[in-house]
Amino acid sequence: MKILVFICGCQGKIEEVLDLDALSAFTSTIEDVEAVKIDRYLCGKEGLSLFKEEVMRVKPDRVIIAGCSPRLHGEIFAEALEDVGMNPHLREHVNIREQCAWAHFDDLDGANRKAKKLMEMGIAKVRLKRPLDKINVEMKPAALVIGGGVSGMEAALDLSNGGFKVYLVEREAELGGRVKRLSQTFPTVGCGICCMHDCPDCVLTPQVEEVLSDENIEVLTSTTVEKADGFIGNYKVRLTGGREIDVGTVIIATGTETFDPNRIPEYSYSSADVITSLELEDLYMKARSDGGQIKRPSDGKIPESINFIQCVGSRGIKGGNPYCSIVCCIYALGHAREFKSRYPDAEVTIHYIDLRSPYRGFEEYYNEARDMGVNFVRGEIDKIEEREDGVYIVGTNRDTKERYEMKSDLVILSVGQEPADNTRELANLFNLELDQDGFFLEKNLRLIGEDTSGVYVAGAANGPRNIRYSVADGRVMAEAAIERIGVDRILLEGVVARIDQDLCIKCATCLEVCPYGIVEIVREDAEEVRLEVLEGGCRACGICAAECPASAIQLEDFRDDQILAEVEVAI
Amino acid sequence: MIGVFLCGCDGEVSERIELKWLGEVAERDPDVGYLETDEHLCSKEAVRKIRSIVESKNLDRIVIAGCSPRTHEKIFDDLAPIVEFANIREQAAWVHPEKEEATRVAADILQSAIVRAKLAAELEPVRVPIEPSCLVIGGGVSGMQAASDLSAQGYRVYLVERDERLGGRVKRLSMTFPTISCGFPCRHDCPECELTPKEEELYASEFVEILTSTEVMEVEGRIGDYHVTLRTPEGVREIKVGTVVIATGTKTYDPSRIPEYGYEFEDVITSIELEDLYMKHRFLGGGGELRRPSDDAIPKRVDFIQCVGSRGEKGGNPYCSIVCCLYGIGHARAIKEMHPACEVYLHFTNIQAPYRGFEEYYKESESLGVNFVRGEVKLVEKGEEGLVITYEDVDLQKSFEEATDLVVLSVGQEPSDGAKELAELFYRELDPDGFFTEVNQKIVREDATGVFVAGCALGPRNIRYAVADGKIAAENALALLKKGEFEMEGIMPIVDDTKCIGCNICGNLCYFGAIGVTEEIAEVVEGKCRGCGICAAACPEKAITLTQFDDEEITAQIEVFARAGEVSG
Repeated sequence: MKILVFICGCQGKIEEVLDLDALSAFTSTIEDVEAVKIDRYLCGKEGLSLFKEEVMRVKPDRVIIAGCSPRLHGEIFAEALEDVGMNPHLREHVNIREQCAWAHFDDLDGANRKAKKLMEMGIAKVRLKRPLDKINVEMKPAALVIGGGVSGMEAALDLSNGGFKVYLVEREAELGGRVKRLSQTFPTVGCGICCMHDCPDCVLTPQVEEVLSDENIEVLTSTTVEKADGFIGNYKVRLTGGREIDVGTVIIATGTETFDPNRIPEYSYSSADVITSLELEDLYMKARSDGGQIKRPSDGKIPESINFIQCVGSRGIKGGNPYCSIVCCIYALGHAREFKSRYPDAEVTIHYIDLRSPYRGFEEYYNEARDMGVNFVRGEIDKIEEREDGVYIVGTNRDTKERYEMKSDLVILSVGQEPADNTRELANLFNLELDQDGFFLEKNLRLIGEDTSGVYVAGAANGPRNIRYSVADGRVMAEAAIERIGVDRILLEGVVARIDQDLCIKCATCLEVCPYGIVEIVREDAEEVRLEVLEGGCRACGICAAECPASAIQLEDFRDDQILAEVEVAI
Repeated sequence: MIGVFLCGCDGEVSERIELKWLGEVAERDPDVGYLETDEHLCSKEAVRKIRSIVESKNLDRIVIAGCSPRTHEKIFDDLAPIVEFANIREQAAWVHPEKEEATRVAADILQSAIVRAKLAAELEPVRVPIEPSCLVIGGGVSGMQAASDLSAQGYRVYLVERDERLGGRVKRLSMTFPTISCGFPCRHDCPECELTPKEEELYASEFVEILTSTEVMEVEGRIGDYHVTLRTPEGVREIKVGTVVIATGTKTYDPSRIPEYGYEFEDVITSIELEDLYMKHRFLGGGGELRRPSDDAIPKRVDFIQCVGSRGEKGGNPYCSIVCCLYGIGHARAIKEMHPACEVYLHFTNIQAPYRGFEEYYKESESLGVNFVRGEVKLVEKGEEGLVITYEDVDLQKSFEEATDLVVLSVGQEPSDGAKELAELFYRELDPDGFFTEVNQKIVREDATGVFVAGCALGPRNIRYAVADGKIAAENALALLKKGEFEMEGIMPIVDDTKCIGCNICGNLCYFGAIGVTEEIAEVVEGKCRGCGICAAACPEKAITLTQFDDEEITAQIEVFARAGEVSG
C-alpha cells in the first residue's frame, strides 16, 4: 500500500507553531508512507494544482491531508481527488491546526508531540478506508411551502420561478398572514405610490395575486399538514382531508402568534376599552374603508386620551416571554402617529422600557412622532384598572422612580409574538430543533448550504423579525432549496449505515432509535423479514451502529475496525 | 378590433363605479368589438378566459380597466399585441367618494385608453444581450457571498476590493454576536471561522478573479454590457461585465469630530481599536488579556460610550448605527470575563439590538457585573492622575466625575468613502444619510440597470442580513445572466434625422447618457435609455419622438378629456 501525505503550513498559522520538517521526517518513517509533501498554502489555487499533480505522479492508494479541520476544506480536497480519478473516501484529514497549533500554542513540545500522534492515528485509519460510491438520489422538483404569509408567498414565487411545482399550504382561509391584518407598516416598505397610507395591502395584494395567478403554484387554504415521511428530494406529505403530495423540499414559514394578554390579569384585558394592537389595526382598517372615526368599543366615543403599553408578553415583563418581540416598538410608534394625526388634540402616550427599532429611517420616524406631540414615558405599568369613572393605568416612572396614575379613554396593549401553536408538531414531523423560546432554531447560513434534509425555515418562524427580513428570508430559503433540490438528482456522500443481514438478529432497535425514521422493515415473503436503511435518507449520525446489540450495523468511514485502529495507535 | 375588459376588483371598483354604464360608454365607440366585465380579472380563470377570447374574436388590441398597471401589468401585458390600461381604481374609485363623479371620471379615463389603443403601434421590444459576467464591488461578507453564489453557477466574477485583503469590516472583529457562531465548540465566536473558508473558496474558484487594492475609476455602457475601468496595482485595466453588485459597506465614524470625548488621548480608543487589542492578545499574548495602549497595564476600570457619531448625539449623524449596542455589550462582557475585578461601565441612551437571543445576552452581561448607566457623557479629559470622565446618570438623577483607565468609544457607521462617486457612475440615488437608496423589490420589479446594491452600502445592518442581502443581489443578477438577454418594452426616443439640428440639448439633459450628438445628429444607445422622455420634451425642433408617447397619442388623449369637459361643462 502506498500512502501519500500532504502537510499544510496554512500560511503561517500552522508552520509558526509546529515544526513541519520534523513532522515530515517522522511521517516518512511510518510504514506504507510513500512520500510527504509540505506546502504553505495547500487550499490555494497553486497548492491545489500541486496536490493534484502529486497524486497523479505518485498514484497512491491512500492520501493524508494534515492541516485544518476537514469541516473547513474537506470538500475542496474531495473534489480535487475526484478530478484526478481517485475515490475521495480514500483520504483522511489530520487536524493539526485547530487541534494542535491553535489549541496548544503555549506548549510547543506538546503541540508537536500531539501532531505526530494524530498523524499516526490518521494513517492507521486511512489504511482501512474503502472506496465508497456516491448515493444517487432522485429529486422531485416539487415543493411544499407551509404558511402563506409574506415569507411563504415570497418563497413560493421564487420556487415557481425556479421551475418547481409548489404547494402553498395555509391554515387560514386567506393568504396574507399577519401582514394582512395590519393597517400600515413602517415607511421603508411603503409601496412607493404617493397615497401616504403605507398600507401593506399595496405590497401584499400584488404578491397574493401573483401567487394566485401562477400556474405552478397550487394554493391550499384552510389546510394543514398531518403527516410527513421521507428524506431530501423525496417527501411524502399528507394534508388535512387525506390528500397526499410528493415533494422534494419543504419550506416552513409558519410565522408567529400574538401573545394573549389574558395571561396578565393585572392588565384587565377583559375591560372593553383595553384592546390589543391588532384590534386597533382592525379599528384603523374599518375607519379607512368607511371614512369613519376611531371609536372605542365600550360606548362608541372618540377617545380623547389613548395610552400604549409596550412589552406586553415580552422581555420578561409581568411573567411574559423572556425575549424581545422586536416589532412592537415600531408598530406602536406608527399607531401613535396615526392617532395623533387624525386627532391632534388627543393625548397620546407610549409607556415603554426601552425603545428598540434600529432600522433605517427609524430615528427620524421617532423624532417626528415627538414633534407631533406624542408623549413618551419610560415607565413600567403595574396595573390597569377599570374604575367607576373609567380605565386607569398605574405605573412607575423608570427615570424618576415615581409612581404615576393616568386616566385613559382607550388603552392599547402592544402584544408580543410567540411561536405559532403548531410549531412543535411541525418540528417533530420534520426532525427540526426548536430554540429555548420555542421558535425553530435558526441555522447558520453557511450550514444551510450543506443541508441534507431539504427542509428549510423562513421568516418569523425562526423568531420575530420585521417584514423586510421575513421576505428576504423567504427568498434566501427558496434559493437554498433550488440550489439543493433543483437538479434532477443529487449525489450524497456514501457515508451511510449498512446492515449486515447475516449478523442482524432483527430486534429492530435501529428502527426505534433512528431519529429520522429511515430504517424500515422489508418483507421478503411470509417468513423472511429484513431491516433496511433507506438510501438517501440516512444522515450518518451513527446512533443505530452504536446501539445495535449484534454489531450488525457499520457506519461507513467510521467502521469499528477503523476507529479501533486509531484508538490502538493513540494508546 | 378592440376588446374592453372591466374589472370590479371584488367590490373595490364595482361598488364605487357604475360598471354597466361604463360598459355602455365603451360600446358606443365603433372600434370596440367586445366587452366583458369580471369581478376578479387578475385571477387565473379570468386570465385564461381573456386569452381565449382574444384568440376566438381575433382581437389585436385590448383595454384592461381596473387597478393601476403598476400592480398587475405583468399579468396582462402579453395577452394581446397591444394592451392598454385604464386605471379606474386608484384614479377614480378610490379618489372620488361620490359614485356619480367617480363613474364619470372612470368613463373619461376609459375612453382615453381606448383612443390610445387605437393609435398605439405594436412595439418591437428591444433586446440587449447580457455579458455572462458580474463585477462585485466590495469584498466584505456581503460581496463575498454574492461572488460565491454567482461563481457557483459558473459565471465569471470580478471581485474588486479597495483594501489589500478580502473580509471587510468583519475581518477586523475579534468576535461576533453568538447567533452566527461557526459551530465549533471553541466559544470564541470569532468571525474568522466564517470568513476564512469563504475567502479560501473564492481564491480556489476558477470563476472568480479577485482584484485587491483595486478601485473602480470609470464606467461606460448599459445593462448587460458595462465597460468598467479599474485602477489596479498593476495599472489601469478595463473589464467587460453584464451585471454589477455594489457591496461597499460602511466606514466608522471619526471620533475626533467630537472633541469632548478626548480621542486625542492614548487611552481613549474606538471600538475597532479595541478589537485590534483583543486580536493582538489572542494570538500573541496567549489570549485572555486586555492591556491598554499607554502603558500596557491591565485596566482597573473601562468606560464604554455608546452612540458616538450616531442618533444626533453631540452633532453626530442623525440615524442609529444599529450594531453598536450589540458589539458594545459583547466587549463589555468579554472584558468582565477576562478580568472579573475590572469595573466596566457602559454609558447609553437607549439599548437597541432586537435580535434573537439578544435579551438573554444583555441580561447575562448585567449579571456578569457590567454597569449600565443611562445618561450623557459630558467630557473625557486628562487629569493629573489619568483619564477623568464626567457623566450623568439619569436613573440616579446625578452627575459624576470619576477617574478611569480606558475609554472605549462605540463609533457608529457612515457611508463609505466613494459611495457618492459610485452612485454617480451607476446612476443610483442616495438617501438623505448618504447610503444607497433601497429599492422596494415588490414595486420595482423590473430592474433595467443590472446593478444591484447589497449589505451595509444600503445602511447599517447586522452580519446575517448583510450576507442574506448578498445572496439576494446575486440571485437577482443570476436571473438576468441566466436569461442571457434583457428585453425592454421598447419605449425609447426616435430621432428624425431630417429635423435634428445637432444642438445636443438632449445629450446634455439625458441623465443616463443614453442619447447625444456623436457626429452630426443625435443617436440613441439602446439598452441605456429608460424611456423618461426628457429628450423628446426638450428637443427644440421636435425631432425626437418617444415611442408609445408620441405627440399624436398624447394629443388624442387630451382631446377625449377636453370633449368630456365640454359635455359636462
